[in-house]
Amino acid sequence: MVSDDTGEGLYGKVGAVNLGIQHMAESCLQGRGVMIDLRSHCGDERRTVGYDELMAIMNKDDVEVSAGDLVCLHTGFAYRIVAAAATPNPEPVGAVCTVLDGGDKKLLNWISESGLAALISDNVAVEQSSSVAREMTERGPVLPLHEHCLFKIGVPLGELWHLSELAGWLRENGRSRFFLTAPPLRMPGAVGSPATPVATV
Amino acid sequence: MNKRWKIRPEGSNWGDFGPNDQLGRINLLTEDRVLEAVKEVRTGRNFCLSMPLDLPGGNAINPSRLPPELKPVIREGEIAFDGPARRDNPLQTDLLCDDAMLIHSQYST
Repeated sequence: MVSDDTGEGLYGKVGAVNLGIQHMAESCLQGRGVMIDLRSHCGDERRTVGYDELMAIMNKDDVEVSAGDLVCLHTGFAYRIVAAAATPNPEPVGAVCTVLDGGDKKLLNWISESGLAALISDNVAVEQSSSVAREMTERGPVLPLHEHCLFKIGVPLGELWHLSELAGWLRENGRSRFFLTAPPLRMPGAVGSPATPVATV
Repeated sequence: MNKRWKIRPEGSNWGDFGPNDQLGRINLLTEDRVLEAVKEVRTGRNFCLSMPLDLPGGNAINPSRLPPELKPVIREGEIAFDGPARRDNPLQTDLLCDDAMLIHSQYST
């Protein structure tokens, strides 16, 4: 990325001249988290979840998403990773647990209309990931939810969060909302960052 | 300042938060909304939502994202970890532990 003003990269040869992760860190990234517990309805089979099913699950669990909410999708994927790592001879967990259907226009439209501030999951890419070969029949993004959220409407994505313990607690206590603090590293020019998110109930 | 784009893509919100916005929808995390969010705190219990950063392990999920490397800092040619701060001065009792990390920023949580 090269600055229009100087013709040089601001932070070395590569890096985000605009939209670097440091801005998000400076915001402190704090607000209301809302858990959507896909796993308790869908199980651990790898398949996509689109708008209709997402709405049905939110309806069943009485989950509301309002403007500014930090929406967390619990699929169980990170739980499976952590559980496998605790076994003596860890096997790869493979393609398990649900992912969003990034090709579902109604879903992308809901992300716009709901006003949610960030979309977070415990799976690899929130949507069906590019490491799974996808046949393209026409020109377009291989990760349409990424294009919509990151490129078009400025909704950051959280991936591989560890949501299962919190999701279980919320379910036991009949809640879906919590207080969430999740700043990334204040690293100028970076586009991604680890986070150590804290949920307080 | 020049606008940062020539064509605003269909369905995008570019410019809605100002011409030089750096935060996108994170702008919605206003002081009022943080105050509202605090009302969700009723027990004081915290949950860590990060996986250990050395997971998922290996690079099977994404071949180009490698596990983190954690290394001791090298200080004047010696490993600056679990050793005396100054080997040449036995009067100093300090024990030094200093490490360095190389992290692929999207490897884990």
